[in-house]
Amino acid sequence: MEKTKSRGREGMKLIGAILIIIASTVFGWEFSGRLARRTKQIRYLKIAFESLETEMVFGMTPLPYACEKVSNQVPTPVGNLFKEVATRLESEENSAPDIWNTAVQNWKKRTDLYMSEINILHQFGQTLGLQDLENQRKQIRLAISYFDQEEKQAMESQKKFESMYKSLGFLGGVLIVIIML
Amino acid sequence: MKEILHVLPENVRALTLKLPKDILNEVEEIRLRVNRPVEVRTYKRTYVLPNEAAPFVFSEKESILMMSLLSKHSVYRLEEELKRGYITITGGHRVGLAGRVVMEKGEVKGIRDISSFNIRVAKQKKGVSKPFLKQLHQGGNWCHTLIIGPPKTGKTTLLRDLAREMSLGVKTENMPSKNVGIIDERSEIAGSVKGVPQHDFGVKVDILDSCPKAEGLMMMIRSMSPEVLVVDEIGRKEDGEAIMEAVHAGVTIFASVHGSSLEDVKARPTIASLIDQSFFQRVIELNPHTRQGIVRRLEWKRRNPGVVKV
Repeated sequence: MEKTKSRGREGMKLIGAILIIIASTVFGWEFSGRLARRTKQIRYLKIAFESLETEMVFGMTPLPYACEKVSNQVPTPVGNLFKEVATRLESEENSAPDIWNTAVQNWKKRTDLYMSEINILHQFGQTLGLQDLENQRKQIRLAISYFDQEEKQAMESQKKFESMYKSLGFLGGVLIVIIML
Repeated sequence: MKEILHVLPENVRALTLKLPKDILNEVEEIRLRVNRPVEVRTYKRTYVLPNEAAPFVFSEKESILMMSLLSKHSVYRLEEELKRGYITITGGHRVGLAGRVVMEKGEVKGIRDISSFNIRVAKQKKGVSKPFLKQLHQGGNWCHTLIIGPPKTGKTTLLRDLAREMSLGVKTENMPSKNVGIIDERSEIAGSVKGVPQHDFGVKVDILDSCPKAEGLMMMIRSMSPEVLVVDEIGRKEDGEAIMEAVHAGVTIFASVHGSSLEDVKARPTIASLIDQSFFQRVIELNPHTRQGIVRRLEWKRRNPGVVKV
């Protein structure tokens, strides 16, 4: 009787320990995944801005259509930002910078970007659609060069911390289990 | 008018719409200047929005928004327009701009920081040319015609309607429809947006938008084989020469020129030589006060009397 009871308790302990380890491992994976996603999203932003430049400077496409086209060329979540800007430009009666900024505000929660990238977007938005060809082009180029720097930095931290977060998650779980035993 | 309300910022639009209907229909100009009240002008008088005692002041923020609306958020597409200083919007209305001018290599590159907008309402008055048609037509052909009038007397409006009538033709009067070429240097006759005319011209009209007059006349003759050429505000020496060429090429010319009367425009050498050599057969003088026109017949001498049979 005693024996079966203690075996049951042991079993429960084992299950608990496994659950803890799984949970913390998932956490670790999530953290390292965020790093990888940030790098990817910055890269997509760069691609998006490059095609925006093509549309604006060479295609002379009006801003709403340009954003629409860009949104179809890049995957989510970056595409969503341009999609939202495009629909708002069509439906709302506001200046483009205002629309861009609210869209960025709404959109940033759905990304893994840091404040530094969001700030670049805000800064770019200040003059969106208000300048002549040459200056508009300069603004896009400036944003792209900032994103280049951010991408480099994001890649570095990804390299440094990606595997560390993963193993840290697993080992952290193990540590908790050992302490609780 | 609808197209114009579209480019006004929301609050200005609301105030404009508060004007009585009959005033709205007569609006000729809307002037918006940063930090100044908004003016709405009709033929008779000027109105301040919403009233003169407590005027609404147009702010810088609204001017930015207006630029956004005018360009559909794409000022970068307006390179040419900013160089010329005006934008033609849907409906053929013109928005004149003033602000800080940017130069490059000694040439005007464009306007930035726009501080004044002047919206000129384009009205197509169909039928204004009706009373003149018979007098401008002789033996199945249109006469070379010069329209003279001071600014804002409706020269361009008349020219536009003449072009429409000639392209449609009047069956009852034995006036067949003709191929009409319009050289629209200042995009005023046709009010083209991206090359497409915003006014109704019937079917047989070809337009060279924002093309210099002298070159345009020759280009049209070479490429589009027009029967009638319509051109606005001639005056330079090249224009005169191009018109002579066109007349010799057998094309009928309809032109307009700034001036108060026939005597007045004769003081200008180019026009004087065109009239003295009787290139024009008809002159329409527009009166600024009554807005009516008088048609004068000029004697038409053929300069090539010798007929050579081949």
